[in-house]
Formats: sequence, structure tokens, C-alpha cells
Amino acid sequence: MKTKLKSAFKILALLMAVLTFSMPFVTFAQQNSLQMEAIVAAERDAQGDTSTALWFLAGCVGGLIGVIIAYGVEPSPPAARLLGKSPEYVAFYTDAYQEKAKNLQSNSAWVGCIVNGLVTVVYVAAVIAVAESSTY
Amino acid sequence: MPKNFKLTILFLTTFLLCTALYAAPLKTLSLDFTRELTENNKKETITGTLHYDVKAARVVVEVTEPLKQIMVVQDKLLEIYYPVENQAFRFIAKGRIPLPFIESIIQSTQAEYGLTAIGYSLDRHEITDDVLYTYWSPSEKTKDKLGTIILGSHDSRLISAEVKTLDGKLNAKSFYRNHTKLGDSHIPMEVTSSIYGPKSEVIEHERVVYSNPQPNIQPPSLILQFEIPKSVKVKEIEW
Repeated sequence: MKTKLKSAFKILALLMAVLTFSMPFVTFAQQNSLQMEAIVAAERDAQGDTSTALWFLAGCVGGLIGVIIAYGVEPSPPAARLLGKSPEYVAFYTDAYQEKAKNLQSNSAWVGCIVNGLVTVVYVAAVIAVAESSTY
Repeated sequence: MPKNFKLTILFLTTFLLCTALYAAPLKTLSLDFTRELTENNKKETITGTLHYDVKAARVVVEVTEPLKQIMVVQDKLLEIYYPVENQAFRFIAKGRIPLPFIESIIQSTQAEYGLTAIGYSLDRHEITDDVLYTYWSPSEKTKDKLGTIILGSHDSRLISAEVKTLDGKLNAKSFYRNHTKLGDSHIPMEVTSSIYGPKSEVIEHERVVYSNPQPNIQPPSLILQFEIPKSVKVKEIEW
């Protein structure tokens, strides 16, 4: 009888230990899943909200100034998307949203700036070529 | 996610409560709400109460489910407070932050539901089964970004709104039901909206049910003056 009680106690102690040590992992997994959910939603929303065509145009017209503006402008998601969300979600979401939207803005502005530069170079080269050919 | 998602949401919310508050001078408004959002086969439900101070252009949203949250929006400031967790965020934007839910009320006081103010003009109209459909086109300046809007009205109450993409595909559609009289106007107490993807598939479905509308409560609800307690550490984020 004593031996049986001892072994039952051992099993219970083992179970308690497993439960105790697994709790941080469960919490970590939940936190991770929340983080992933917030990041996926934020990146999707940022992609939907950011007008890459507009920033491309800003880079095209404004050149480097357009690029600087693209880096400087802080994109903002509407308040309704943070409604009913936990503080952790709000923190992850806003960070991911700003990062993604800023990336999209600056990348589009850089592309516009480079296209503008290339067009200018081609134009200048063409003008020089025409000028040279008319000189000879 | 459509590129003009923000605009779509703005347009759809513009028409919410659209027939309301033309005659009654509104000072404050409180409404209970339940918002169901279905996205990627996942449904989330949020319930709470909305408080609006017209003069201060301040909205306080008290969320009760799925968690306790108080959201305050005024001008360039958005504050979110979690009374249980005792945490808070303060977002400082460079421009004015659109007021959640209530933006439509402001625009409803404008002619043609605010469409003319943002450059839309009435193209044509038709009547089918007692429903007046008006077709609105964007201005020359914005026609490469915005699509056509079709409003459906019955008995001077807005019952539907459709937003088309630039290539004429359906982008979003809203239905307004269960109108209730507030002053001389009618407020839809149920609004359902669907956002469509490029293959005309529904990518997001939202249903907002309002109840217990209380205009001009005297004395005004104290929650309208809500401020985050001084003892709470606020995380400030610049937008």
C-alpha cells in the first residue's frame, strides 16, 4: 500500500513539474502567435493603404527630396483597426505597419528617383549627341 | 486588399447614419454598438458604446468585449487606455485622425452626404422598385484614383451604397437597415458592408449593429471628458 502511494505521489509530482515548466512555453507560443497575427495584418493593411504610384511620382518629380519626404512621412493606420485589440497587438501592429508602409514609400520613391535620373541622363546624352552631330 | 481600402472604408462609413441629424442640433450622441468583422474565415466581435461630442469633435469609444478598452480620438491625437492592464498608448499624428464610426455623422450634415465636398458630381439617376439610385462620378482630378459611387434611397432613407473600382468592378457594398428616427432624421441601426477582391470575392465582411441611441444627454456623459490617469505610463508613438 505504501509503495503504491509513493509511486502515485511520484507520478503526480512529475506531472506538476511538467505542467509548471510547460507554462512559459505555452505563454511564449501564444505571444508569438499574437505577434505573427498582428504583423501579417499590419503588413497587409500597409500594402493596401500605401499608394506606391504616388510615392513613385514623388520620387520622379522631387528626386532626392521626394525620397527624403518618403522616409520622413509617418504613415498612420486608421483608429478603427486598433479597436478591441490587446495592448500587445497594438504595439506589434503599429510597429509593423509603420515599418512596412515606410519601406513601400521609400522604395517607390527611390525607383521614381532612379527612373527620373536615367531619363535625365538619356535626355542629356541625346542632346549632346544631337549637338555634336550638328557641329560636324 | 484593394489599394484604395482607406477611401473605400471612408466612403462606406460616410453613408452611415446619413439621413440623420439634418434638423436636430446635435450636441452629444451616445450609441451602443456591436461590430462583427469576418476576414479570412475568422470572425471577431467587438461590443461597446460610442460617445460623440460635436463641438469638441471628440469621440470616445468604450469597448467592453472582447476586452476593456477606451479609445479617445480628437483632432491629431488618438489615445488608447486599457483599464485592466493599466497600459496606455498616445498616437500623435501630423494630420487630423478620422473619427471611428462617427465620421459619417459629420459628413451627413453636408449636402449629398458629403460627396460633392470631395469632388463627386451627380451623373444620373433611376428609379427601380421604389428605390432611387443616384450615380456619382469623381472629379477630373481624382478620377484616376476613385471609382463611381451608387447610392440607393427609399423614402428619403439611404438603404445601400456601392463603390466601384476604376475599371468598374464592384469594390465594396453596404446595406443600411432598421432606421430609427432621431430628430427629423432616420439613422440606420444596422449596417453591413462587404469589401470585394480583384476576382469579385468577398475579402472582408463587416456588420455593425447600433442600439440605444441617446442624443443630447443632460448632463453630458462624464466619459466624454475622459483622460488617461496620471499614474499610467503612456507609450507615445508619432504617426
